[in-house]
Amino acid sequence: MAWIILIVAGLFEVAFVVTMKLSDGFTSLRYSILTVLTGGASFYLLSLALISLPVGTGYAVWTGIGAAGSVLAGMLWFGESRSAKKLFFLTCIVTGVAGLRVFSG
Amino acid sequence: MNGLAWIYLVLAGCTEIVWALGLKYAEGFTNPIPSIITVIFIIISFFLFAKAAMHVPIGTAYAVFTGIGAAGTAVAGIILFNEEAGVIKIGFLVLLITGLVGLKLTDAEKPEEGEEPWRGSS
Repeated sequence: MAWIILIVAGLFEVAFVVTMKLSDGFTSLRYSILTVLTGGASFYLLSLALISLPVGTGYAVWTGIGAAGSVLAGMLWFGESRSAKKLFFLTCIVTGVAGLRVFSG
Repeated sequence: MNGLAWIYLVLAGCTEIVWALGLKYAEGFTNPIPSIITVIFIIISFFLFAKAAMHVPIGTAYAVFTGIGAAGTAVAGIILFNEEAGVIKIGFLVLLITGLVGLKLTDAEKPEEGEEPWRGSS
């Protein structure tokens, strides 16, 4: 159950990042409200999941879903570049972040 | 314009380090002063991130933002709190920093308009 909550928290994190982009630097009220709501939901669900999961692992998975998910969302909905070089460096970052979270938790 | 957005992005990452460390001291928001500092820096950090995300592709922006936060927090832990700097940790740090620098260089070689050099593969 904690894992399902964690995955949903990660999906809300993607929604949070995407709505923040759509808020145009918090100038669109509608998307700013959605940013706060999805962000709040994501952090709340993460904290619930971390009650029973190890913090390092939980945080790593959450960040991983958020970072990888926003790359996918950018490519699918905002027509962002899919160059091999860019994907390689993004993978380095996501792996590095997840690894650090696991080993610092 | 894109250059300025990257400056916002780096500053957003740096302020993320402050609030990530602040969260430790806030002890579940029971300790008032660190809690206030943490909340203020969370607001500054996300405001800067939102400004940056207007011009830097969102996938790149979020990866860089989290990346700087994670690398900075790990380095701060090693320097300020004497957390052990094992080979594994250093390895992930190097990988992460390679990704950040590489991504910035790839971003810089894009055509001038910035955002959308090619729309998908279709």
